[in-house]
Amino acid sequence: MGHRELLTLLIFTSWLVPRTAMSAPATQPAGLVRGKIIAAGDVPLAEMVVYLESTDPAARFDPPAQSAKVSQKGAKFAPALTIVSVGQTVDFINDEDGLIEHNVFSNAPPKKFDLGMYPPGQSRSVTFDKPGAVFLYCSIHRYMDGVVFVAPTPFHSRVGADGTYRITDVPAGNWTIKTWQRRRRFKEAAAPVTVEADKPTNVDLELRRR
Amino acid sequence: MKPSLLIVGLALLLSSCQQPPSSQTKGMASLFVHVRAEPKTGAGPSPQKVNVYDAPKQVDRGAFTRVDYFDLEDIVVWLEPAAGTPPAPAAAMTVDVDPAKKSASILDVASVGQRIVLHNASGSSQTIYSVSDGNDFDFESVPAGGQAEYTVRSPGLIEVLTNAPVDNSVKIYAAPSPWARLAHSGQTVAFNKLPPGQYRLVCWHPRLPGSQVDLTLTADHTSDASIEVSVNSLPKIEAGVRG
Repeated sequence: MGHRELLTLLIFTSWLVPRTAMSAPATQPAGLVRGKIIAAGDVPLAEMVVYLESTDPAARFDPPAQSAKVSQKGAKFAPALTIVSVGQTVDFINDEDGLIEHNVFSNAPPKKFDLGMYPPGQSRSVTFDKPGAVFLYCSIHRYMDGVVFVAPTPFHSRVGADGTYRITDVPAGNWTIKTWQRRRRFKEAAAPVTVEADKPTNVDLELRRR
Repeated sequence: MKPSLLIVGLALLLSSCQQPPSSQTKGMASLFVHVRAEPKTGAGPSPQKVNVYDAPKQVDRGAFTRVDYFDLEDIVVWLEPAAGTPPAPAAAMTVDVDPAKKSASILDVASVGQRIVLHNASGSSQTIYSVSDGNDFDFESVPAGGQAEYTVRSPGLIEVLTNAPVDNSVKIYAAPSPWARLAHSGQTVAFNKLPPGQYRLVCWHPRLPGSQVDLTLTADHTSDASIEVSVNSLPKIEAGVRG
């Protein structure tokens, strides 16, 4: 087989690869989705997530290989809101200065777990395999709470205090854009969006009570 | 106190505990439920209620305040009949809504089908609404002192919100049955005038996993049951393992 035939075969087989296997956005033509969240009244938008869901229910995306880290120093989860994608691992680090044990747990339907009590200098890891909000608590410390939001794809963004968001490296195609609020004060918003390669797509979403 | 008096007192107390609740009706059953919150296995003791001169340790203050499993609030306990439908919902309940009043706790327990009167207890007009799953509603511009009515559609937590910028809400837990109580750990709650038969006793807490117990209640008899919320029932992830 000559060089030209091999190249043709490679191009042909690349078309045969189902779209559901697309998992490396950096190697594909990718676009940008950006916009602003608008909410009625003077409502803080902090601790809110915007994420993309594939319109193909069979689509699967490789999660980032790197785990996210959550500190427990001072009996506080930091960051208080961690955003990961399905399949990604979070390391819960007990980095207290003093001899203080923590016991991270969640009773949230997407991931119920109990990490047991462990002392400073140790870490426990959880891989989040279903999308949704996983609220975190410590069984020992009353005011210790946080949340891991597990997005269905690696294409997500935390909303800024000014309501803006920016999702990068999005493969071209059709998506549904959705919101999630840690303190839910509005119905979640959703809208279809078509992403074109190397081109920004603007989507402003309005949050409403009904 | 003389030991004999103490014994008599204890005997009287115990005998009163065995009596069916005063509201017991012939042919019906009663149930005492002992509500518990179990700390993590192996954890040090929770801070017990102490006298004022027993100042808590520095480490137990502020962010390091420990969960008090002996007095854990916001535990919702209810009974569901194993067969058939629960009785008609209780009469309407009234809830004061005032965005200036902050409350992290569950205010009350309602049941599916029950009417909730939302009273605007603030000094100004409020939009009173909820976006809770299965129980969303929206009452625009309820005047100060005015009220709106909502009938509970689904079991679960209902957060009643207002359009005020402050992030305060009233939290009501809607149980699937009107045989429901709001309790704290260490409390014994009584359910009276229950038709004899098989039931499921269930408890829920905003953070800790609840539990359930199947019971058979017999006529003209008071039964006892315990139910607990505890982290110990969750799937464990050990050191060096990715759960």
